[in-house]
Amino acid sequence: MPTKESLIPIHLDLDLDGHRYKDAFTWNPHDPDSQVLSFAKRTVKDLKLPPTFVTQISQSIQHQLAEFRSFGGQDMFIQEKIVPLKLDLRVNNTVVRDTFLWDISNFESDPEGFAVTLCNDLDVADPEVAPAIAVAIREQLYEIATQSVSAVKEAKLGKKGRRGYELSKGGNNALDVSRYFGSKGSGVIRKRKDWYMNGPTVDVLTNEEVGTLEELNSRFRRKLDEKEDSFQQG
Amino acid sequence: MSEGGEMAPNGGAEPSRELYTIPFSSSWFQWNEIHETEKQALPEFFEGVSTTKNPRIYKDYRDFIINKYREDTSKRLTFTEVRKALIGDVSLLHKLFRFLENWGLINFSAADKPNKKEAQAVEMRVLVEEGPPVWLRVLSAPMPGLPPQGKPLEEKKLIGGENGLKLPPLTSYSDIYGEWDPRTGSLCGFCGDRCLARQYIKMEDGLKVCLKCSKSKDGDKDEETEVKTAPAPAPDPAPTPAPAPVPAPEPASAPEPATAPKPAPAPAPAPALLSVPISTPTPVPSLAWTDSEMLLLLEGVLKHGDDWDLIAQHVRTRNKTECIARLIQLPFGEHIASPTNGKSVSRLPVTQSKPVEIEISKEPVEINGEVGGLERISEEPPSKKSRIAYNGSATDSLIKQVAILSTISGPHITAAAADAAIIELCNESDHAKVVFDKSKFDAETKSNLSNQEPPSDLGAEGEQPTILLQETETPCNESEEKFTTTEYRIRASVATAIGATAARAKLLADHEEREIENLRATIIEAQMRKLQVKMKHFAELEAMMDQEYDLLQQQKRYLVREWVSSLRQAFDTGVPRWKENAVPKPSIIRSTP
Repeated sequence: MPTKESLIPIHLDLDLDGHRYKDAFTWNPHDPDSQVLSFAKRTVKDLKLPPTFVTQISQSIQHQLAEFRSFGGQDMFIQEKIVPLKLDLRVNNTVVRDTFLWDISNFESDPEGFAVTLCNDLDVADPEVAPAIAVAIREQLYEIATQSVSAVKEAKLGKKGRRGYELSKGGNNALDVSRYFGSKGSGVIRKRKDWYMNGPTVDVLTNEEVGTLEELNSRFRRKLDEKEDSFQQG
Repeated sequence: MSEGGEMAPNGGAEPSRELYTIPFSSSWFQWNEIHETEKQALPEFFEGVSTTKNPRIYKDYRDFIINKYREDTSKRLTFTEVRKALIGDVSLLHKLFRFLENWGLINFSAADKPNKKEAQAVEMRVLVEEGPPVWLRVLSAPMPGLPPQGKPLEEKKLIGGENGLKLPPLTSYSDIYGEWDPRTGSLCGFCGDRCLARQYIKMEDGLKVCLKCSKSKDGDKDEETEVKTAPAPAPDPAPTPAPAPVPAPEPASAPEPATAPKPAPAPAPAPALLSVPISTPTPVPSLAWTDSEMLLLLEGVLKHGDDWDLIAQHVRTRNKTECIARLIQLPFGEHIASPTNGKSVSRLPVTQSKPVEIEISKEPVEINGEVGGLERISEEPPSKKSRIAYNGSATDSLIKQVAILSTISGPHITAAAADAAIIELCNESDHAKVVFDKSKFDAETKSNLSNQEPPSDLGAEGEQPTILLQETETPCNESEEKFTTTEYRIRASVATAIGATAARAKLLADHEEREIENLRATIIEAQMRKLQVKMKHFAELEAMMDQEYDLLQQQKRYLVREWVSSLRQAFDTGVPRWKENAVPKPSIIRSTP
């Protein structure tokens, strides 16, 4: 992944024995794999989860690591591509929503630095927000990376005629740069009325609002599960 | 970068000429041009490689940012405001923004935001923190929207995750135990002076402040006084927003998460300080840990290992963070509190010897703990790190090892080892001899006991040492419980334990060797059998092959005979020509007339 250090975003969402553990963080793929197990043990110990979580957590992490490693080759990123990234996350009491452009061929890009600057500029009190933002950014970058990798793979397998189609499909979410950066373009300054759309918004919720959000989430999830069950049975 | 150079803005755009200050070193900057400095710092725009980065775009970005800043020079321009108005890769924009900021082309005259890092760098000079807790605490930024009395107060410097690792100043014996001494009283939280008895006021969060300091608080105290504070008490979110000075409860308008420390006193306005209600000492336990609390703490650590909730329960008057902080401060406290301790608790059942209850052995441990707390410094510090290889409890704390060792050896071994240890100690110093009443020891027992291999002569030795040990016990009990007496006893017991271990270790080693030999023999046998089976198998195969060979030969001969006879028949009947393919032509030609 073309960033200063390639860290893998890991997402965990386990629900066993009535304990729910949801977490997102970044992992350094160059860490030895023995760290996974010790991390899982430490986490379970610190959060006082039942010990069945240890294997689950380490399996999940290793699965995601393996997925990442199966995507070798970074030559797809040489070509410059600017994609819009979105943030829409809630960390404890803070809700952050934002859109911005990211150049995935820029090897100096630093999600963590960006997240920290964002939190500083907006005076976010909660120190857990910055890492969550960085993880979200990395996840999106990762998705884009995997999409482009699989697109290229398909193109190689498919016929020549199809290749053009695939590539353009993958490039749709990139910004139409010529419009902005071309010699006769209107320049790179946005109109003032567009500023608010591209800027970040940060809301601090009270505890009750957080509670209601959680309620809605769980209800939604339950509905999804029911639908899945009925789908499988039917 | 100090001289204020002046530079006129683009005169054509604005009717009135305003002067903006930028540092002298940035005077290379021109509105209409792009300087070499810029090209070097941001080469991406000038390489001509990509469509999105060219000098014109760079100039647009730069001019926009600088103009945005100049809309209000006193206000600090943040990157976020800028990037929402610009199209382009945010990382690159950030780089550009930082470039401009470093060269003072923007934010030069802006009021500096109380940056976390800078505030701490200042505070490091002022605050000497003792033994901060070992876990990371990310510090929160102060809120600028607070009313002036909530201005950022002094920040307690802990190991901040963002600032990189700043190791705590090494604690020394006097630091820790200096305040333990119940005679001299505790230290004032502000000025570090010893507080005369009862001449201090307890602040809301348990910090003790001498009367002098509580009365005279000025804004300059943070610059001049060196504040020596005891370990950070638990961060209780205070109900009142009273802005007391140095570590005061946090302003209620900022409900920080539990890990946020207290903010720092920058020049706090004087009137706000005097309104502090400090008169009544609050009923918070004092910061100095009493002996009984220490005892409970050590017990708790031994019993519960890594589980701080249980330890805090055990030490009833302290909460989790205080316990941890206190333990860290003790010499070797970190080793006690290390996570490997937890492992040892689970490994105890592995010991194959009889599971003697740890509670029973806790008795001697308790006594050891209290006295040993002070003694540990002078006593064998490296042994704590040494790994005693036996039955898996290698990384335990010293006391725990002693306890375990004493439980796993048999009484005879222990007694013999005890005496050997006592002899050694006696040899060391005369005082010890007096303590142990050496006159009772004969020369022959010495020679007997110096042999540390009890299993062979247990019976003979066991009696003598036990008798002697009992005799030595009595004088000890009679003599006064002096400090040094216990010291020697402790050392004796530790040496005992170690001697006992050595004996046991040898036993185990012999046993293991024998086992290994047995296993080796079985392996070799198994392999031999395997080879023999293989050989039999091959012999059978050979026999089968021979048989088949014979059969084949027979068939060959039979076929040849048939062929000859059919030829003869053909001859006799006078067939003129052959038309068969199988018969080789040359031979037929010869035989036919």
